[in-house]
Amino acid sequence: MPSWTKSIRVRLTFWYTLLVLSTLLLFGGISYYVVSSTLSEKLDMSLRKEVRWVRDFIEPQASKLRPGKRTVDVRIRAKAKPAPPPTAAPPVDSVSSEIDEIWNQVYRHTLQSSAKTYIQFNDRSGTIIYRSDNLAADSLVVQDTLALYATIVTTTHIASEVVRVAVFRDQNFTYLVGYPLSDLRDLLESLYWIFLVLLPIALTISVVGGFMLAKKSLRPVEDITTRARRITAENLDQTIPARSVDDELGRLTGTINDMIGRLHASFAQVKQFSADASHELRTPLTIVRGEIELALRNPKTPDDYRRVLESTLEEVMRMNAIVENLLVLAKADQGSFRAEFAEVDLGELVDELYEDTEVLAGRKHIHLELKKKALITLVGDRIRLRQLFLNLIDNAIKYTPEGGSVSLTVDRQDGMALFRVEDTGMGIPQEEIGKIFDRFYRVDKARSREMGGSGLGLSIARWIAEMHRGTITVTSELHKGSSFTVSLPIN
Amino acid sequence: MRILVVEDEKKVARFIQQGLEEERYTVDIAFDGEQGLQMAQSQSYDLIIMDIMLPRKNGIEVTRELRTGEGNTPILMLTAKSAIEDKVVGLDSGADDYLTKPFAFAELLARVRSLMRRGSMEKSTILSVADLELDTITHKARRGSRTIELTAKEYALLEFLLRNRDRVLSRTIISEHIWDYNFDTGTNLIDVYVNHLRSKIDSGFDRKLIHTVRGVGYVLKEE
Repeated sequence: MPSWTKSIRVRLTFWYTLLVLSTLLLFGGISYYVVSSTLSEKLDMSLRKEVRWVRDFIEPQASKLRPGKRTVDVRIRAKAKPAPPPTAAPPVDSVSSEIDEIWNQVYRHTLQSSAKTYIQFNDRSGTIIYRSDNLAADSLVVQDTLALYATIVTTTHIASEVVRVAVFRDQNFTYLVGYPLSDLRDLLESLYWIFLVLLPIALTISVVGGFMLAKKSLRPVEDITTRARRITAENLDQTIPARSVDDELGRLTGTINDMIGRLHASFAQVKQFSADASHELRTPLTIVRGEIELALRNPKTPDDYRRVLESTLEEVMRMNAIVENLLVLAKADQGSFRAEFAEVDLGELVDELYEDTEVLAGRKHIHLELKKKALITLVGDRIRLRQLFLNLIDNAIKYTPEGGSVSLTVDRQDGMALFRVEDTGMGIPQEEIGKIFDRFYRVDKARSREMGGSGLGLSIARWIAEMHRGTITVTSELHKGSSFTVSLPIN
Repeated sequence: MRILVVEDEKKVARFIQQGLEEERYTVDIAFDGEQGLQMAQSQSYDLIIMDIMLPRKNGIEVTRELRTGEGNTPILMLTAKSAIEDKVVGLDSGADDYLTKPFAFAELLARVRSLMRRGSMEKSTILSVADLELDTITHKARRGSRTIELTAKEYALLEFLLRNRDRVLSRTIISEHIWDYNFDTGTNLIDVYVNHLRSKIDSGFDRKLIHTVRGVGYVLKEE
């Protein structure tokens, strides 16, 4: 593809010009045709009228005209114009003066129309008995066979001239009225020239105008391109200035701005997430590095070394948990996580979890109770559901003080399976409930770290619930306890 | 020299304290911003090590509040935030230095020494008066050709006296900079330590450096 076709401006101008050109050609052609046919028709009509007039005028006096008589005289007399008044030349004889009078009248009538109108009468034998003086020595010759009392219009030649002729024949004469076609041809020719001259002018105007028009209307596109190019990942908070008019480009700007906004939000989210992740990993790293460096600076007792190793091991385990959870979430974000859906018996799953977590609860003297267990089977990823429920039970045990209680419920409601964990723990402040599912969000940072939390448990829990088209809802009262309910559709 | 560490990660605070104490510094810990602010305002510290992400009041706010008051104690910010903007905000709030976690402990110590020097006129790592020299890195003292071994507290006391040479220091001021929060000022422990130090530095020399100002305290000066 040549490079110039890459410019919409050039292409627009090209098509615009092509359109103007074809419009002009079509218009010119049609005009030419219409004008030419209208003029021909008009000419034919006036010729027919004329021939009829001549015939109507001559016919009553036909008897006076003898074939073969005085034709030359008539022509000569007709040539002398204006026709001499009847008084100027006394009639030679009454018949001839009457005939002259007829010719004179015909001649005068001829003058009223056009000097170029040719009139000619032939008698039955074909002898010319009258011809108007503009014919001079020429005569109108028609090849067509002529029916009696019918007018036909045809084309013939006199010398080099093309003449349109209307012919009428009655029992006595053949009347011919002609008009040269050159007039009409001249007119059509000027029309043709006008078009020929106008065409390049119109083309030039349309090329230049089209180009300017395209340039003007595409300038905002250039602006948008320039500004959009300046926006990178670093300055996504910038937008393209909105146009005051709500036209196509205004909507385009709006759309691009919306897109930039969404990009900005997701970039910010990713940035926040990686900042949070690195912060989460920095703290245990700081401890591991600091404690080991310190242990190596000065000699210590074996007990001190043991304490350092235990402490750093604890931090390494924490980092391990964070990294594992981050990997799960990264897979979830990428959509590359492959769930393995199968029939899951919720009652059995919760029984198993109850047995596993009873030990954890027992250590803190927390009463773990399985309040209600409905028989529910649903299609889900057993391993993930187990993780989801375990995260919630584990949290409940962590944030419930010694001697408190945690209860589990499996129930069925409106076609949904409900799994509820209620505790008598510290509760969550109302204003923070909305944030607890955010990654790395912790209500009490110090407490959470002491409990070994990664700050990702609830984010993962929510992801698993959503993966099963379910939801997690929370109700909580500060210092009284919290209740987490997972609702999963049974299908 | 007495240092306040404001850090909510207990394990981080604990190893910093241990490491600094091994370097003969006196260390107090505050676990949140409010406690840190209150301690910094009520006690006199030679240096504050401040985390940024703190509960109740963050390190930037605490630093700003300290700087709007009388406080000109050097502040070293220590935080997991490593973005340049964070450093700029931290330093602009009034901090003197910035160190990101995880850090090398040796670097933390070097920065602590550097900030301590900035507070005094002394720009060298070796503090000296007359023919007495104290190396702040090796913690060794030397008078003339004689090398003097010092205990941790003796070193701390001598460093403090040297950094404040020619200034009369009351027992209260000395206790505040050498002993920690829980020190009982009712005892004569300071006099005991000053006498120990005196016997190591001045005995056997004609020119005495540590002088008692009756009813006030002590001064280290060349006469």
